[in-house]
Amino acid sequence: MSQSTDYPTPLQLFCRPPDPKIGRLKRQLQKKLSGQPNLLKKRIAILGGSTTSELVGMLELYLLNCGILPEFHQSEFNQYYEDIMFGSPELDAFKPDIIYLHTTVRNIKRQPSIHSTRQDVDDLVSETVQSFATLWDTIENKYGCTIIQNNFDPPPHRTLGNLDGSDPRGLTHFVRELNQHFARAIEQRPGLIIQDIDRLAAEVGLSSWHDPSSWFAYKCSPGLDAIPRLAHSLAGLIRTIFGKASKCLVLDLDNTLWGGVIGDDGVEGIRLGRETAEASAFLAFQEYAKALKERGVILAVCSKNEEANALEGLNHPDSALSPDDFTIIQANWSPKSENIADIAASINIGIDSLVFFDDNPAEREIVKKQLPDVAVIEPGGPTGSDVSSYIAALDRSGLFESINLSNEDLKRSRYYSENARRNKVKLAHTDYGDYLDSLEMEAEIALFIPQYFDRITQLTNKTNQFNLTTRRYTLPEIQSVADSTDHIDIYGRLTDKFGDNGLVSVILGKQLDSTVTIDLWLMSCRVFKRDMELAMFDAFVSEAKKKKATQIIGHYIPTPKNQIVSSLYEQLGFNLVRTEDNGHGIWQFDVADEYSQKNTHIKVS
Amino acid sequence: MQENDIVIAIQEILTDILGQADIELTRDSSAKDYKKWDSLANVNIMMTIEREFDFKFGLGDLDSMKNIGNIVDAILKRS
Repeated sequence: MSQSTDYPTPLQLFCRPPDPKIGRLKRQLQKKLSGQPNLLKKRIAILGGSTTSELVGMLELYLLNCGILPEFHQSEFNQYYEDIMFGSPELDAFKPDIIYLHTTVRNIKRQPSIHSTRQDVDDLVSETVQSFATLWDTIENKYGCTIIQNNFDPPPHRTLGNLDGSDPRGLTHFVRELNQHFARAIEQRPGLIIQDIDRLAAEVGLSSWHDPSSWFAYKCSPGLDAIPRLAHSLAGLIRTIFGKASKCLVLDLDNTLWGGVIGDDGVEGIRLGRETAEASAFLAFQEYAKALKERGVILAVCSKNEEANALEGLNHPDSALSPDDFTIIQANWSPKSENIADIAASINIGIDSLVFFDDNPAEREIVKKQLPDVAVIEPGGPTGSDVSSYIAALDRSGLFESINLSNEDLKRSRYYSENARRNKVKLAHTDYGDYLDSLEMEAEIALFIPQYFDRITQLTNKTNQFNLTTRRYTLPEIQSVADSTDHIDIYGRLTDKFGDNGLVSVILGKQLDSTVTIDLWLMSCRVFKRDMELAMFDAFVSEAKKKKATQIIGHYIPTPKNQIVSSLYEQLGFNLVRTEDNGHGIWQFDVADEYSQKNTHIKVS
Repeated sequence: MQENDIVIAIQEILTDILGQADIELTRDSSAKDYKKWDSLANVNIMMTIEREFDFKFGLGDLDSMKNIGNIVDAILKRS
């Protein structure tokens, strides 16, 4: 934190290794960060088996740095079990968006003893897991909010030495078993997220994680110096829950994906492969990026190079990445800030979903200055930007944190690549309607069904542009909306000749007498300008008619990102009822018998 | 660091944590002078002092702390 007096740009605190001494700058940083515009307000309850005030302070910093303004509730010291099981008026009134259950190995009261049998230990494991499962159930039923539960850190000491990890009577062994059970618990519980502090403790180093004086003096676990790391990890999960995870990794080429400068050294001169130490480190970084791509991170190239040279490098026989792995390749001599802005525009995602990786500190500085919303990774290592540090710098940033891997995630890169092909076809058509017809689009639009609840929840939490109200829903909320009879909730899937876009749009309406109010209407940016919104509205009107509704009310609540739908209701023929001070518009539409279908380019089934 | 600077820094920390603006500390000031300085606040105050002065109290020191003077002496002894 050398430039502590600067206003930290969004995500700046994420982009460098968490500094254990960040705490000393806390008060000064906090003032600056709270002054940022457009913060997303969220209520987070921290229920801990140890003192959590230090954690809350650090977490606030990290959340503010990713655009979230948290309000906190903390349980009294070690009262988490009572607060949840027997209720706490403060917690009930707080209405948390997230409950974080923070317990560590220090809180495990009932441990195997040296006299325990294997059966005793098995029973103890089940009882312990069951007591947590009861907590999770109670939270789900009572608060319906997302739960973040950390697993257990390794014990501070091992009375059985190395045997502690392999003998069932060892605490190390016991904790590992508990962690296995926690991991399995998420299969049954979509609202449960496990934070892996077992891993985090290893990264921090156990001697610093288990600072005994922090525990004995303050009942604070982990130790004070490890708290920033814990808060950083937690903030990474929380921003993902609220749809703010980064989506696209923008990579430089020369000295980032290979050693050397391809324009000077030629494809045979660049260092990439398994021959030398440096070459293999670059290959390892490519393999890491490729693995990110396979789990749904979009890759792009931004390089000062001739395009032919860039492609030649990516076609290097030892290259793990090939040109096809990138949704877009910007190799030219324009300033990188312009190219990065172009990348965001052409993929159609917010500039704040981009992460920029470049070995050159000068390029990083320019991008930070010109595009403060882009997360710029700061590699480190022996030379300041050493290839040996690349993977760790990216991995530990937590920017691509993910809370579950849906099938949609695995297909995401493909969607964006197909879109690039659609754009080429678009250029061949002079009439936009002809172009739309040439796509041979087919939509499936229907009422919510359980198999899509996950995807619908995910969409409500990450769609920012085509989103009229930007209301976020948790999985239990989506389930209850789908079960209720006074709601009209439809989803839409869109397929065309280039591929399946998946489930891309949702409208959620609530009926009161003959009026249906649209609480939520969103559409993925993958399918903008395809008339899918018309098909969705047609279907919504027809459902409203079935339910004998005579009018539809729509709200447009402006955010910095949803300008694109500011005139949607007007275009659909709604009448403006009124506009409130903050620009919140309320629109009305008469459901007429003679409603004529607006969509003409998509075949709907 | 001079004794006086340390007292002023502790004063700022207390102002923050106790949410009270008119705090003026002397060596003899102690928890019983401030209603909000209860055991929970005490943990926060001591953790914050450790963090901001980048040092750690000895566990024995913590148990025998009676007033601000003791805290200042512990900081001076260790920095």
